[in-house]
Amino acid sequence: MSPEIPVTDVRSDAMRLLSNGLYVLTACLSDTIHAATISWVSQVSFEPPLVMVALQRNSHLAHAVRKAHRYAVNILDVDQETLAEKFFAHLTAPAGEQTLAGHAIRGSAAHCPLITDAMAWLECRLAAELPSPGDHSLLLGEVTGAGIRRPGTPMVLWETPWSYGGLSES
Amino acid sequence: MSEPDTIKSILRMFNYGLFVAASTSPDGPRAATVSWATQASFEPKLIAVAMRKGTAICEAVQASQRFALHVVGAHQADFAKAFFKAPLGADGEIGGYRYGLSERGVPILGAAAGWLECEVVEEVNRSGDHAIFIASIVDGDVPVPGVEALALRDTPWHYGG
Repeated sequence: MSPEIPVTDVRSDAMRLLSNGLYVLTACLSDTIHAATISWVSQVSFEPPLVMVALQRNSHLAHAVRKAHRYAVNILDVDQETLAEKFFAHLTAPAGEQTLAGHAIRGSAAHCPLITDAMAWLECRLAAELPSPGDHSLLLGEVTGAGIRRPGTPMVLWETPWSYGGLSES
Repeated sequence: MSEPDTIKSILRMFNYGLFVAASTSPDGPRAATVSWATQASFEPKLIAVAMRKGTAICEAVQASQRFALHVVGAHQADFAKAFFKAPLGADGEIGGYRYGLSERGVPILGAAAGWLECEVVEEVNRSGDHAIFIASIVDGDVPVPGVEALALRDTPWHYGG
């Protein structure tokens, strides 16, 4: 995530019209919890229910998900910009910590860390990494668990001051 | 495992736009409304679009390996609705909307708020009921600068496949 960056290409203008949300992806690899805000997420199948997330290819987050084989997508409410911003940088914590960046976390039945302030969550088992020549890894997950904590309106990237510039991680 | 209805409800919380995908089938130009699309790379510029396997639009994209993804503008719900049943085009029109062909032969609908012309680089998803096309963007335009896109959430519709 980054503040608005200058537009240099009309294709980029058109791509910004894709309506991405903002989500916090969480995973636990051995003794470390990983979390970061992501935006490129889409359902890609009803039966079985499959979700695809795009993560910067050589990021620690992509590495963690690949190894952990499980991840959760925490869905943020429209008023949770502060929470989203805290996770623009990839954050880690020792497994067993009760909070991350000041937000309570708990483990799902499948030991996926969940941010309890999120309005809803999906837990996925990594099904495949899709072949792509791009700078993001496309990770296909089968939805294995889910929960809604309260009704709300999910956050949309274009209603925030931000756009995703792919610059949040090194 | 959570209740299927819970999963369904949460999957509907994801943010989607509404798009009209257009491609050329052996029978002629074909266009259909789609929703599951996301950017997939900055460099090269890639998008991923999921289309129900076995549908006319999916088969047209599989055959031609090319398609255009048109963005439906915030006030263009009728434009999206015209392509729910994936009409076949003829005489310069698909679903009542004029189109022209790009130099690569892809139908481009003049009414769209924005469009991307795409070339398939990978087709994946053996396990799911939709094909995922990972496609490079070879051209695109936003005819009306500053236009806003329609969000699926702001319509009476859900994508039910």
